[in-house]
Amino acid sequence: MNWSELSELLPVGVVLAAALVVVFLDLVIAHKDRYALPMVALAGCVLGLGSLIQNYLSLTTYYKQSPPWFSGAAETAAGAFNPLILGGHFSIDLFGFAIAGVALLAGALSVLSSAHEEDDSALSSGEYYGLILLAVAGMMLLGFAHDFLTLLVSLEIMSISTYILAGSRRDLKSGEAALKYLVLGAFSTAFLMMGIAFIYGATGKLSLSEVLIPSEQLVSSAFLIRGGLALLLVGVLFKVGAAPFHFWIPDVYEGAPTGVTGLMATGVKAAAFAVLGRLAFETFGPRYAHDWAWLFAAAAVLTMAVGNFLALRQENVKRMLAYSGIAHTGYLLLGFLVSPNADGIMLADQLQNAVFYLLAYALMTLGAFGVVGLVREDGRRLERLEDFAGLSKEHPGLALCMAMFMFSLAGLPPFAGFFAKFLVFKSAVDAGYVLPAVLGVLTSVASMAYYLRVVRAMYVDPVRATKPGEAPAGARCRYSWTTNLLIYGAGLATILLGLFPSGPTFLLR
Amino acid sequence: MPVLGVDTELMQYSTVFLLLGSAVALTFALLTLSRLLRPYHPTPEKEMTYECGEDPVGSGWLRFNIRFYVVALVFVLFDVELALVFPIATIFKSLTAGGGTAALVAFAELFFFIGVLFLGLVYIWKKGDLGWVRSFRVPTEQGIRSWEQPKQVGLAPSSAKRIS
Repeated sequence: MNWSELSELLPVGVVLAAALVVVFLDLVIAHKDRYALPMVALAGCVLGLGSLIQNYLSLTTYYKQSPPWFSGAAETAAGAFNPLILGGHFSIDLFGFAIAGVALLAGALSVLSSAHEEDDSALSSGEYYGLILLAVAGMMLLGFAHDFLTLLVSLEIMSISTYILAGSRRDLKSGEAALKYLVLGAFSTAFLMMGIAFIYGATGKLSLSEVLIPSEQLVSSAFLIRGGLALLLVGVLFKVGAAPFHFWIPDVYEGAPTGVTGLMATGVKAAAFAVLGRLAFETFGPRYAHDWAWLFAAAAVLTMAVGNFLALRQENVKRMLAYSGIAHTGYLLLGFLVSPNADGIMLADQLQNAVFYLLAYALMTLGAFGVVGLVREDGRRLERLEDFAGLSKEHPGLALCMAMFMFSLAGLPPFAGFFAKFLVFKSAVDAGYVLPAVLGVLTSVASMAYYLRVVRAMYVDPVRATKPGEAPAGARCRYSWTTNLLIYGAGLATILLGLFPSGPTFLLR
Repeated sequence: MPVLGVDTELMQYSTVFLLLGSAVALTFALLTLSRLLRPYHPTPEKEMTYECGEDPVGSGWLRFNIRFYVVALVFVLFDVELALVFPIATIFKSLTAGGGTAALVAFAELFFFIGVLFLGLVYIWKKGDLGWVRSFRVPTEQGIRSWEQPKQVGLAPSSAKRIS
C-alpha cells in the first residue's frame, strides 16, 4: 500500500479539519461573534472544492487525459492512470469527483441557507455547522468508495451526522423527524449490512467491481448471493428514497430544519445515488443487466407515480417538495438502467447524464428550500401554500427565483431541469428501456400541476389579511443576505445550466 | 508428549488456571484484610445494594437522571477507542519488522485518532458536561462566556422588581 495515495483524499481531510475548527471555534469565540461560524464552515466547503479541483487538474495534467468515469472503464496498459487507490478501497474517478463536488456544493448552500437562523441557538452553534461538514465529508467518501467496507463506514459518517442534524431544532416536529430518520435509517443500514455479510460470506470479496466476477463459487452459492444482493438493493433503494421504501421522506423532510432538509434532499441523495451508480455500473454492469435492470425500471416507474401523484395533494410546500424529491428519485433511477450490450463509452455517457441531473436537481431544490426557509411572519416559519400568496408583490426577486425553480423542477426549457430530464430519459431510451421513459414523461407532465400551484399562489392568488382588521398583505420574508446569495446564485446557475448544458462537461474535458 | 501424565496441549492452559486461581485468592485475601482493618458502623443506606446512586428497590420504571446518559455516552466513546486501539497493539510488533516505516505510520495514526478523541474530551469538558450539576451558560456583553448559577425557581427578576 502506498501511503502517498492518501493525498488523493485530501479534499475530504480539508472538510474534516474545517469541521473540527468550527466546533472548537464555538468554544472560544464570543457569543456576539457567532456569525463567523457559518463563514468558517463555508470556507471549509470552498477550500474542499478548491482542493478537489486541484486534485483533478494535477491528475489530468500528469496523465495528459482526464480520469475515467468509473474504475471499470480505466485503461489497463502500464503507466495508465489506475483509479483504485489504497488497495482498492477508493476509486478516484470522474464519478467520484462529480459526487464529491455535488456534496460540497450542497453543503455550502445549506450552510448559506442556515446562516440566518441566529434567532435559533441550536442552529447557530458550532456543532450544527460541524455536523454539516462531517456529513459532507461522509458524502465525499461515499462518492469515492469502491469497497463494501469503506462504503458502509462513509455511509454511516453521513447518516449519523444527518440524524442529529434533523433533530437540531429541538422542537416536537424536529424531534419526530430525527427519531423517524434514525430508526428507519438504522433499519435500512441493517438490511445493507446483512446483504454485505451474505455476499462476503459467499464470495470472500469486498471490492464492488470484483464480487460478481464469474467464478465457480458464484455458481455454487448463487442462492446466498441472490439473497445478499436483494438485501443490499433494499438498503440502497431505502437510502435514495425510492418507492416502495419512501415512507420516511415526507415526515423527515417536513420536520427537519429547512437548511438540513435541503442538504438531505440533495447531498444525501447524491451520495446514496453514488452507491446505486457503483452497484449498477461496476458490480452488475451490462453482464447482469437482464437480472436487475427490470427491477430498477419497476422501482423507477413506481417511484415516479407515487411521488408525483401524492405531491398533487400536498398543502405544505416543504412536504410537496419532499414528494417532488421522491418523483425525482424515480427520474434519476431511469438514468441508471444499463443495456445488456452497453460498452464503456455508453456507460460513461449514462453516468455523465445522471451526474448532470444530480447537479441540476441540487441547485434548484436547494434554491427552493432557501425561499421556503425565508417566508416568515412575526418570527413564525410559514410553510403552507396559502402563506406564499402575494410573495410576488412583497419580494419580486425571490418570487421570480422560486418560480424559476418550480419551472425547472417541472422540466420546462430553458431551465436546467429540462436538460437534466431530457438527458436521463434519453439514456433510458438508448439503453432500450422505452416504456419506463415514456411513463416518466407522462408523470412529469402530471407534476406540472403541483409545481405551478406554487407559482399561482405567489402571482395570482389574492392576498389575505394576516390579522383581522389589518389591511391584506402579501407573504413577508425574513431578510438574510446569505440566503439571498444562495437563492440568486442557484437561480442564475439554473438558467446558465439550462442555456449551456454542456458547460460542466466542457469543464471536465 | 505427556508431561507428568498430562498432555502438553492441556498443560498450556495451566497459565490460565494459575491466573484464575491467583485472582480468586487475591480477592479473598484483600476482602479479608479490609474486613480486619476497616471500622464497622452499618446503616440501612450502607446495607443497600449499590446501583449507581439509584434506589435498587421497587419498580425499574423510574426516572433516571439524564446525567447518567451523558456520562454513559462519554464512557462508550472511550470504550470504543480502546476497542479500536487494541487490534493495532496486537500487530504492532509485526509492523516494526519491515524497516519500521509501517510501524511509524501506525503510531502516527494511533496518536492522531487518540488526539481527535482527546479534543472531544476537551470539548465536553469545556461545555460543562463532565460536571454532575451543569450550570447554565449565559453569554455576556463582555464577550466572555461566564458560568452562572441557575436562576432560582419562583423568584424571577421581573416579579421581584414588581414587589419592590
